[in-house]
Amino acid sequence: MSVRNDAPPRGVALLAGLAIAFVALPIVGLAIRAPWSDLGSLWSHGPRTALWVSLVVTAGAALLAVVLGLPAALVLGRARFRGASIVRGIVLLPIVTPPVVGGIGLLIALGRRGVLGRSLAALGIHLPYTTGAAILAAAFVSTPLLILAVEGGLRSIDPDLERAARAMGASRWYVLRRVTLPLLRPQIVAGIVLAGARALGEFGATITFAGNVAGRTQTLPLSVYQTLQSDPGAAILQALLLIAVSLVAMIALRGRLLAR
Amino acid sequence: MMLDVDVTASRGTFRVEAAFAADPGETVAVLGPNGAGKSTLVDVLAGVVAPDRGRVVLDGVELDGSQSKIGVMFQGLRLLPHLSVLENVAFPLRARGVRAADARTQARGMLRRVGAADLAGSKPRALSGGEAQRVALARALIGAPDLLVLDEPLSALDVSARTELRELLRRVLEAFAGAGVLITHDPVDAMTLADRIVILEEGHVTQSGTPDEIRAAPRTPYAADLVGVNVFSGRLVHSPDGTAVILGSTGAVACVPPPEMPPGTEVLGVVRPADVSLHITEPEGSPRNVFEGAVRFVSTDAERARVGIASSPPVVAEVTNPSVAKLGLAEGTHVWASFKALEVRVVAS
Repeated sequence: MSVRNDAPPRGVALLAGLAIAFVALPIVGLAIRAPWSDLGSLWSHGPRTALWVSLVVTAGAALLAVVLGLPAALVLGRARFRGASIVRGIVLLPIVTPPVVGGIGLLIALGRRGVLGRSLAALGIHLPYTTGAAILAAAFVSTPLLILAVEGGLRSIDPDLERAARAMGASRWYVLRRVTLPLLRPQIVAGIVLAGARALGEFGATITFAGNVAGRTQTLPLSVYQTLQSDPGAAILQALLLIAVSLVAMIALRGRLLAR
Repeated sequence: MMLDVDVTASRGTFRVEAAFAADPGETVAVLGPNGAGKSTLVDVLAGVVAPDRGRVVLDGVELDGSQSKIGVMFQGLRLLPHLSVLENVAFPLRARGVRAADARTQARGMLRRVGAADLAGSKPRALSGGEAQRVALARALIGAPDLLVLDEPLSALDVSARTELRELLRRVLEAFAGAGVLITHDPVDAMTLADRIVILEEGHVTQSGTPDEIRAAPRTPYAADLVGVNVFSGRLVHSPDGTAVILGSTGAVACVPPPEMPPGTEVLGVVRPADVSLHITEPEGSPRNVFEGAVRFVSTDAERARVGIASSPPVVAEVTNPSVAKLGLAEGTHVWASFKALEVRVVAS
């Protein structure tokens, strides 16, 4: 028998096994306890609608994360102004803030009587309890993850490549389009996957800011929580559905976007 | 294209002052040790950095930030890793708005010119050092630049790739109608590729002139060390034992030729003056190269002396000041100069 010389020490392998078991155990538990005979009930109106809302919210939040987060990462990653680290800290705050706190903040800022919400209402825009609000809540917690991923990537790019491109007559836009963004592709993909996963699982900010309105703001996690009160078996099936969707999305996204 | 450079630029607290010119079709080598300010100068010439003072004038037009007429072969090449070789070479054209199909056609032609046509579809990471160098050269030449800046184009190559690429560069520079600037720390590159040499030390030009002028009267120890070398030019004549002589108009110098060089190649044999020993009587032992003659000059500085000997071929030796006294060297002293065949660096001329 041949021994792989790059194998980690046995103790590390043991701890790795523990970690895998720790992560897998709840999922296995769910699978064991799931009332598989009722699987058809997932196709009923409630879970189906929640799944649809979840997918719309996730896609919307991931899109917002890219549209807002990518420029933010490009600026912060190359920032040389004073206080850049403070700005960076504020932008990344939602990663460590409890989502419910973020939800309250969004409510105070954009709610009906909120700081900005009042002006929005004057324009006829009412955010609370709409799918838009759910998207905003999810984007609030997931955008910083994309920023973090892309900023890290930006620092690993050799700035000489961009300088060389400029010296070859390329405009700033052209360098961004043909050099910087293509070189950042793996980190952008990772950022989208992270942000999407975070948005799909979002609960606290959503229920606080957007509420729990079936068909509009009730995403699959909210539906799982609500169903758990009345029908634990159905909640377990919905939870497994959520896991399945996350897994498929992550594998598909990574495979599709990383392929050159 | 006439090039006229007169700039002061700084990087941090380091300042570089350089003034030099090149006539149409001429190549100027900027030769200097590490930290002399060569890369700062490249950044100014390439338009990456604006000079603190002064300007770069190309054919009567001051270069500004548009950089449309400059081709640069960067140190470390800086090929874009995510683009194919063809797209890399087409990049300067595409960046200036040339249509993709036209740019690719031109890029293919340029790759053919540098002997890299078959690499068009490869990614830069799949290239060998010499191949990457060719691709970078093609990218610098595309779009017919008026000024070609080559920053250490032969560094980080093994000996045979170096010889091949030097030959390619020589052909390219000969055919190039614009002004060429070669940045290098290697005097052999400077002497074989450039019409004129500018020596840059600690941010200042310490000497400039033709290779012959500098070789004859190097003005600083660095210039003496690097440019003030013995250069024997001639044709390789091989002998059966693997050695060869460089047969020139003033004599024959024994050397160990690189294996890829066929007999008859026109070469330069380069010998550092410090590798030449001087003797008052005919030396015994192994040196293959022994030449006798009268001392033509002795020029001393604080530590050492350069001694010119009117032998065939003429040789310059560098010895310590105590040995000058010990050997009793003065103008007219009859001496023997010797050096080993192994100490002759052979490069294609």
